[in-house]
Amino acid sequence: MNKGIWRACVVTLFLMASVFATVTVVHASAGSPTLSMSAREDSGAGASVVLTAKLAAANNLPMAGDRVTFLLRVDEFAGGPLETVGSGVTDGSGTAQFNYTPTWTGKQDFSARWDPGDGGAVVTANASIDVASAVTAYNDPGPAVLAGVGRDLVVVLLILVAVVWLILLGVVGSVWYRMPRAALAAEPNDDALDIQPEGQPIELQPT
Amino acid sequence: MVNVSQSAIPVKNPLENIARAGMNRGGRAFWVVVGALSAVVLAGVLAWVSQLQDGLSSAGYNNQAFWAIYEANLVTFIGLSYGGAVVSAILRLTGAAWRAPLTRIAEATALVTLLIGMAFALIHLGRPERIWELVVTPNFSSAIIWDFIAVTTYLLATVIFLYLPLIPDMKIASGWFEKGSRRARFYSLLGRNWRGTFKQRTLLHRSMTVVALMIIPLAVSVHSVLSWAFALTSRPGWDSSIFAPYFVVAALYSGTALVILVVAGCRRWFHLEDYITPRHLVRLSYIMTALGVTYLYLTFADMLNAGYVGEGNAGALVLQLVAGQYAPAFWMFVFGGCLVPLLLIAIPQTRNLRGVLVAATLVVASLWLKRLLIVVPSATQPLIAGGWGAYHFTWISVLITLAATAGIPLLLLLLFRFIPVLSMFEMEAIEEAGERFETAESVRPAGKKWVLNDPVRQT
Repeated sequence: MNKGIWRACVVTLFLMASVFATVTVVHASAGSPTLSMSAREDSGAGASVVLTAKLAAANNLPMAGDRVTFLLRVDEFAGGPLETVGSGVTDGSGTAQFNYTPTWTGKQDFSARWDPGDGGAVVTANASIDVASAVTAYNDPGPAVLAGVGRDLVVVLLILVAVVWLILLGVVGSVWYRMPRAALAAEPNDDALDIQPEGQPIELQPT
Repeated sequence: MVNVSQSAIPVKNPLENIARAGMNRGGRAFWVVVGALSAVVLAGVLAWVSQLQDGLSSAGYNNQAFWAIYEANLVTFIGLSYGGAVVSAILRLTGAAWRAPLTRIAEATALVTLLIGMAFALIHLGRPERIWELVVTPNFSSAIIWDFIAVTTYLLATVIFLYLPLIPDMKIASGWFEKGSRRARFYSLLGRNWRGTFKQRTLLHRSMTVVALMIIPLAVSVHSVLSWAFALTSRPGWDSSIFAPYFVVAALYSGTALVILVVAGCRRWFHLEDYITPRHLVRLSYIMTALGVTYLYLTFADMLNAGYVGEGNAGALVLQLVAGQYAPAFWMFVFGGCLVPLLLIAIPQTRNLRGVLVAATLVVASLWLKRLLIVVPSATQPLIAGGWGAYHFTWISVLITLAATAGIPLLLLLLFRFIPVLSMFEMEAIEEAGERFETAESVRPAGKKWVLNDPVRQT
């Protein structure tokens, strides 16, 4: 056999071995897999926490191609103490990774979770880290298009309210002040005026 | 019942005798009722003190049900106030002569329910001592500060709207008590030397017209701003463009129903049967019916978009209301708050005093339920993750709500200890003008007496 045939045989055997190894890992996942997890802060990439989970079958062989979900323990939201932050798919070494951007500093508890998907037990692992740098989750909306209008509107509305108050207090003040004077200024034959229908011309009678 | 015969100085005018009925020294029935109502209110106050100690969670609030019964109560009671003020204002402006015996009761109801509604602005706060910060550090981009401004302005207008037509009656009332007595001097001061001169009548008429014209847009603004406290959020069910008119119509609808109940209660308690006839109540029920049909239409319009598109959280909310955990309450509102009352008024055989009272009671109760259905499902809907939250009544929130309800008749009874229950001046002025405001005598068939379920058609 020439060198070319040998080379082709070696490559074919290598490929067959790779396929065999992969298949072996997949079969192993049906056993009792284990999941380990680590979290480290990536200082070179700004505020970033690298979450790494390693999934292995019962026989310690790595499980490739499985999705691992990463969760963060929070208290703020009502949906539950653990909120999903992301996920990753395991590679040939059974490792899944996700880069999480923390939104606050301090100690944070993460979980990794692998669901076999066939009704089997969910496997979890935990890791904690003291986060030093974080990026706020608040997105500055930038300058509002109608911000100026809003300020003017507030002034207009406050003026309107002031006018309403002035009218109402003016009405009461006017009644309070003028009512007794309207009684004093009454004509002697005021009784005739009393029954004058409104809107009709008034004819004063001589006393 | 009120003992009409008790009085400081007897008067011969039967209208005055009736109008001052509540101002006389109360009989045993009065004190028993006032005592019972006060006990309920006191229990509510104690429940509030307990809530201040233990926090809002003791009222059933949690981090999902962050708004619940107190917000529903606030909207309900301020809405009830709206009905009294606007019904009175519209009837005045349109010159409806039949309004005369009703206006005082409607205006007093407006003031009392507004005060109780405003109390919920404090009760629903976990830290009520911080409310002063609303005044000293106002955030004008928040609907809450405009709520505060609108409600206080409306309160001022409501007090003035009640006071102005009282001026002539205050002067009359000053003569009911010993000259120089504290009460006589107080009424004389408020009566502003009323002699009924043409100038005085003109001044009063113009002033009342101005306030009646202003109170309608003010009431609309109050309930619109109240609705925007919900609608200007991004929560499904609240973020609706028709919420302002929806709230306004709901307020008018429930407010008119309460006016019917209070008028009927005053009619019986103060023996006003000669002045307030079943026909008055049926006429009010026509106004209530028109508003009920409008409200039913707006409910349909509000839910159609979200329900038809069925997208995301808004669709899920509609599903919860019509077929989910809130369906029993929702359909109870549709039938009890809209369809049954409308039928009771529409069918001639049930369009009588009893039918009108049943319809009005159903409307008031169902519209409170509707406010809960507006607040709770939207608040408890999960927008991030997890399942639907829930709100459960606690004895604290129930007691406070019962106390607020008992506060309406209690405050009205106490208010009518100080002011005449009927607007004597208006009733006399309408008669002088040649119009008739309808008494039992004027509408009662000869030889017949009013009975409780006397069909109005017979009149």
